[in-house]
Amino acid sequence: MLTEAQFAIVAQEAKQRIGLALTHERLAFVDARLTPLARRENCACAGELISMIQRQGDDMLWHGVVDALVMSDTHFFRDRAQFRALSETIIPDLLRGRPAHARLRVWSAGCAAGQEPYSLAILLEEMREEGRGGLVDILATDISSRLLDKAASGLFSQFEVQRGLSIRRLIAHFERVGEMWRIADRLRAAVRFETHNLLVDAAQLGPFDLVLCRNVLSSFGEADRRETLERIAAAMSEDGVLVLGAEEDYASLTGAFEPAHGACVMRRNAYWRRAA
Amino acid sequence: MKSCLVVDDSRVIRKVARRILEDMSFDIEEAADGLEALQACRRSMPDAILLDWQMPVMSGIDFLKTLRKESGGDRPVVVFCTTENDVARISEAIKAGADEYIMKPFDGDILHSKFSEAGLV
Repeated sequence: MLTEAQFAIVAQEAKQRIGLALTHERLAFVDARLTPLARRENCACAGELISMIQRQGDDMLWHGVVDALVMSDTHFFRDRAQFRALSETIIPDLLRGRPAHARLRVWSAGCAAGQEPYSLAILLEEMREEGRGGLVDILATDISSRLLDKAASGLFSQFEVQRGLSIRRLIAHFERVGEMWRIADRLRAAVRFETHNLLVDAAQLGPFDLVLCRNVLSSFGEADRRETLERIAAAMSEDGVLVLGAEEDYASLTGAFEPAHGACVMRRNAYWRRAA
Repeated sequence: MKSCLVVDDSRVIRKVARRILEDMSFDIEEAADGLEALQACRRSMPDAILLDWQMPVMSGIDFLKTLRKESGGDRPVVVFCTTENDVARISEAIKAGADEYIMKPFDGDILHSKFSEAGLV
């Protein structure tokens, strides 16, 4: 088991590198997440792994440690009401405000293993089939290269495809490959995956008309949360819409956004300018 | 309270499903094969049916085809719950009138997700 002092060091690295705020009660979680990595590095336990990294000052291994702590528990179409709002109001409103040939630029920030951007790709395909879609680019980013590799493969276990996908959507958009299910190539091609750390400036990735950053900022401390919201705002078009997790309400943290469809959906404040 | 008929020849699976569905506030009845299920439906049509495929006496798919022809048999929401995971089998089930489809093994999370998809939660 990690000692208190080792946990404090891991927590400090996680905060500094990816904004992940780990409170004391997460010690057992951190220990469990680091044990497989420790074994791969021929260490008996997570504690020994941390001692070794400290001794060697190995930056790549710190990267591996932080990567192992990134949350990945997610569902397709997580928070169905939000996807309904995206399909019925948010995306149609954004499309209406733009010329027909313009591409709507969407960013799934903190996409984990890909369920969120693929759900969006499915939703947009269904909207197009109903004759109410437009041209859309989806960029999906995550800090974890481990999760991005999985996302880009488009392969999901039988357990994963049964969380949030109706059976009709499953057989319309996936094919069975052995014991796994793979999303259709046309949907895989609709999403571009890139590594990105939300603690780093994002302006060069944008501008985005729609950003989904759901259940990511809740693991950040308040200062990182506010600064990340402002970095996201700086990468958005002036009327862009940001969707947070259904239980996330950060409207009071910054003047960069104003509530649009309830607290978790915010519109970029067109008059906001980032402090130099 | 909504009612759900759990149809499976395994007593263990019925027990697991019952426990999860009772937590989701369903009133549970059990049947061990398609024929028992049909008799239960003729007594009283449930709101939902969780249905295994391979069973002795009458299979899940034969039960479903018969049920959908019965008076009031179009009403229950039918969720298959089976080890069959071939796309052809899944399509066959949907064609026969299944509303949702669970591939075993399942857990509470999947059951909840699929019952939500089927509009039962």
